[in-house]
Amino acid sequence: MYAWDFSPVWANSGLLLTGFINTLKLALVALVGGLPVGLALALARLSNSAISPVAGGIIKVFRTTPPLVQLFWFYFGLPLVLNVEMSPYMASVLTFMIQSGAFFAEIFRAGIVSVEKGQWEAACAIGMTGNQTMRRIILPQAVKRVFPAMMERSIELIKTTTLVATVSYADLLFQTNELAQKTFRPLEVYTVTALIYFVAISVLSALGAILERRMAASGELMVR
Amino acid sequence: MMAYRWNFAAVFENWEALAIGAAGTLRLFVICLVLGLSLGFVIALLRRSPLSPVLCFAVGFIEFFRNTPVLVQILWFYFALPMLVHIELSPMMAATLGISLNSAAYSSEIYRAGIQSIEPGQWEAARAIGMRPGQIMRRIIMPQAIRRVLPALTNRGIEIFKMTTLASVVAYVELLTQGKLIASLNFNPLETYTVIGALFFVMLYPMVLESFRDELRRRQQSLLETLPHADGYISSLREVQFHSTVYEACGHHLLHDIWRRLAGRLQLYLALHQSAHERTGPLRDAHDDYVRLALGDDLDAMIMEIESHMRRGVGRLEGFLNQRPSPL
Repeated sequence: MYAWDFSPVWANSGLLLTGFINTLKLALVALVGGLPVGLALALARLSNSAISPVAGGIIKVFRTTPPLVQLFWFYFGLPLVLNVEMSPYMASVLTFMIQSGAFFAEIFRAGIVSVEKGQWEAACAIGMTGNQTMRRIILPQAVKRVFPAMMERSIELIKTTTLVATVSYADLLFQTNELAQKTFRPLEVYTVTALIYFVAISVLSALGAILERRMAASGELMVR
Repeated sequence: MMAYRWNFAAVFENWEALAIGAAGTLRLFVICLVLGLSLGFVIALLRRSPLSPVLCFAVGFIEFFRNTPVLVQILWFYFALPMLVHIELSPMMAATLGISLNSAAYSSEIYRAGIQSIEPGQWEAARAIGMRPGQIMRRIIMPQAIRRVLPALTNRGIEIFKMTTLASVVAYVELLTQGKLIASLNFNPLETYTVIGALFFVMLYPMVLESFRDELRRRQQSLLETLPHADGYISSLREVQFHSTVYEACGHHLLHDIWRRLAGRLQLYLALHQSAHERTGPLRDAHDDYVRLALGDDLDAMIMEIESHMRRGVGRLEGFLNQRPSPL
């Protein structure tokens, strides 16, 4: 029978806490960066210009290749092209910004397309330009409508950030590996980490569900 | 700044290593696909159990595996589990356990949605002709439910394929592991990871496209069957179902939802329409009011719009299906 002993984990809880904060920081930065990237890609995709297929290609590639391959490409490959030093943090932020941007782009696109065509015509009739219509009329409605899908994707993003441990960015999973090697207590350390992720992600999902219900009550939301 | 000189020769010289990696990726994918999707079905059945301990287990399983990262699960099985049960787990076993259980949790929710989408009247009808619950599930509910959730299951399969790269973290021999090896031996990470990324894209994109085309073909068939009858309402309904499928296949869940809700309202309309058609007078007026409430203001205009849209859609669809499939 295995004798569980959590005391080495508690003694080093500061290490895990640092990792957890780094995970949240990375997820937040990637999210804040990913939203404008996604919006830009969606608008480019919807435009009738030459950049539309380019945006489509970027979206396709980042949605159909594994995120770990993307991360390795950005961390090990990209510095050679650009001739720069790439820190694990930089590579991680860049990868997840573009990757989640590609997913956000499809969500934004669905939201924009879901606004009735009549609203474009009405805005045109009162003399608004295309940009004005998009900014003042279509986007505010689209963003509200896609909120649940955005929330789901953001939670997915937090789960994907665990991959950065492989390029030794000190996130929660990386700190866990270190701690497991230091204390020779992998069972306790990994179990605690799994629980931390479980609680954090469950809390965020619950928060998302509450927000969703509130927005649905005010009638501004479509179902998922 | 000097421009980087690309050189793919070293990557292709190691094609044997890549082939071994690809075989490892495919093997892990097939095993996880079969295990994950079948275990998911079992969990979906447990989730419907009236026994509360079974139900609690199923809900706990689903919640836990959906709300923790797969990589943590794989590493837990690889490093932590052997402490508990004194079995040495191979990288393959750890990766299989992590990915399969995670996929089981996700796919069980898909099956559940499929089973719930079958009208309760079918259960009642089957029970009335003397079928046992097991038989009803196997012969009536399951075949329909699975057909309905096929696009969602295909998406899950694609996700599983992408997840197999995580097995490289525990040094299971798959494409990315081999890529790491080649990159470290030849000092050419840029070319190697570009090739690995391209390989995944080339393997996955036809899968995405094919599942989409498949669904379209099926819908086109049912559309073409109804067109000659020129029954505006029925074909409008088919049109709406068609759109809903297309958007689901593309991953546009939002649009899919709009069309699905529209289909629901059209069905309501058809039911009302048929039951009220023989009647005249105030009942008929009440019927029309209901319909207006259900569908929005200008009913006929809308149906006409849908119909013309459908005819255009069939033309475009034919063009699309006759294109030769290409990965790019």
